[in-house]
Amino acid sequence: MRYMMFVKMDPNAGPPPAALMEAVETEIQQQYADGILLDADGLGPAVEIRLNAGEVTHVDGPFAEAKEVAGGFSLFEVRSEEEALELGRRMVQLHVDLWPGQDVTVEMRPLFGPPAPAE
Amino acid sequence: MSSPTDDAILAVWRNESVRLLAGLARMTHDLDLAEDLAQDALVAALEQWPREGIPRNPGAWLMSIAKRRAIDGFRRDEVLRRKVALLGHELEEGEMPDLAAAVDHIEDDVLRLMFLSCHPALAPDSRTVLTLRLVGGLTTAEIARAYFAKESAVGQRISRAKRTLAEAGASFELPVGAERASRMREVMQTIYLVFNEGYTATAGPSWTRPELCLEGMRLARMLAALAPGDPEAQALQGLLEIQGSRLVARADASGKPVLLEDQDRTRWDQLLLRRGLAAVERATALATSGIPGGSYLVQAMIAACHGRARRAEETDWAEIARLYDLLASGAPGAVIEVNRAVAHGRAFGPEAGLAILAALPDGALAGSHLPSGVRGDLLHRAGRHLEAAAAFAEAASLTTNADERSLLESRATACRNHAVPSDASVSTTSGSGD
Repeated sequence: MRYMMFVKMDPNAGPPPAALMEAVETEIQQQYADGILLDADGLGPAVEIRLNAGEVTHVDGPFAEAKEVAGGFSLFEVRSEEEALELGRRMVQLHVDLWPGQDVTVEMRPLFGPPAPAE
Repeated sequence: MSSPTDDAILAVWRNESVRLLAGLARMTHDLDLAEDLAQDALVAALEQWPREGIPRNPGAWLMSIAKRRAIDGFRRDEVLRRKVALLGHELEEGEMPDLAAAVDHIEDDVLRLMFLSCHPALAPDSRTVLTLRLVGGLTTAEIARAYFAKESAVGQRISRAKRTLAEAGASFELPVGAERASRMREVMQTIYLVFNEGYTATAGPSWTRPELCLEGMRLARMLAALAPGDPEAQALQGLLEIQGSRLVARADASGKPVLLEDQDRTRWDQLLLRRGLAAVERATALATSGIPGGSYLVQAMIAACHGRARRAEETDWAEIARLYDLLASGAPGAVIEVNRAVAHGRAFGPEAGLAILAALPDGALAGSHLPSGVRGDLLHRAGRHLEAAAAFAEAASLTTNADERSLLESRATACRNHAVPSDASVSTTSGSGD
């Protein structure tokens, strides 16, 4: 089963400490060597195309009201939900250890995968 | 954080077990002992983690417990101590290795474990089971489920395999030179077998068993990461990912097989296809830079030809025929000849394919449905419907897969009726690019 991971934090948090970047890189290398990381990339600022009460507007980010933004994603192939949650737990633990005082949210989202063939 | 459940602990265990086991196997030179120590560490985790939470570095935690148990055991058991004299030195080093800083070392350990599980002293079936257990981290029960086998039978096969390795004096060292190359081929063949068993199930009711395909792909990715300069390892990953990208398109809603040319290509898994094509590119680049590729690279290039065709009619059959010629010149064999017949039949007309089949030595692939199935398809394309019907009927009587049988029977009927046009090729379980 596939899971997408988003690491979300305060957009004003500033650059992460070098030690954290390094530890995350090591973690990514391990996921790659374990054959479970299918894809990963960084995400730039959002542009939202909103439909609100019949009106379509384009709004460029970053959004002042945003408390958390996802700076990137990783896509995993794992064998159970527990394996996916463990990957998320590790990512949070790296922040606990290497960026004290900075809150972070790691989101793990299961993918539905391709639809079943039509009858 | 809430206390972890047993399922969560088992998930951590599964992520860590291959590295844990690989390190312990290097230190003890005894697979049974290494597995026992690793299991002890799991039991300790199941006792302690629900109370204390999952440690920051679970791999290091498990390794330190396993080492402590080993040292305790060796103090108590003089016989064991003498039996594995090597162990003392590494274990008494005391300091826990920094796992993150020792990645190269760990990678060597994992590769060692792969070579060991795919040792030439073992029968191919034992290699696949042992690899799934030791490298894949699957439980005996999970392996038994995947192969529709009894758990006790799988357990026995694993014990026997470990005994065979011990009796053969299988080396825990990394092979070098020519031996490394031949052992790599055995590892790749084992991974291919795992995948292929899932891709065309030889037993059981269903046409595919995706979980074995997923394990095969994962093992292939691991090997490709462990041997980044080896074009064949990259090619194997590419081959399996490209074939894996078609998994969901290979069966219809009722679970019946849909052959490559009839598949809805919009349902191919684009992520796996893209990854697979990229792996083939890597393999090709390595091969053109002077490290020779082999049969996996050619097979992967064939799979890539199919993968790049957005519609079946766009398939570059002339290129595929050329690649099969290459494959046949490097590794002659009846299965490849049959696939070469398919490709030449498509590229240069059915008679060209039939000529290749006619040149097969008598008795080649006796008992296999493959040659008669392909002959049926070529005869059908040549408009020789009655002969085609007979060939399909023969193929149907030979296959052991229920879905495949009913597909071949329906093609025989269609040919007899002349009425139902079919553009499908028979399935080939290896090398045809599907």
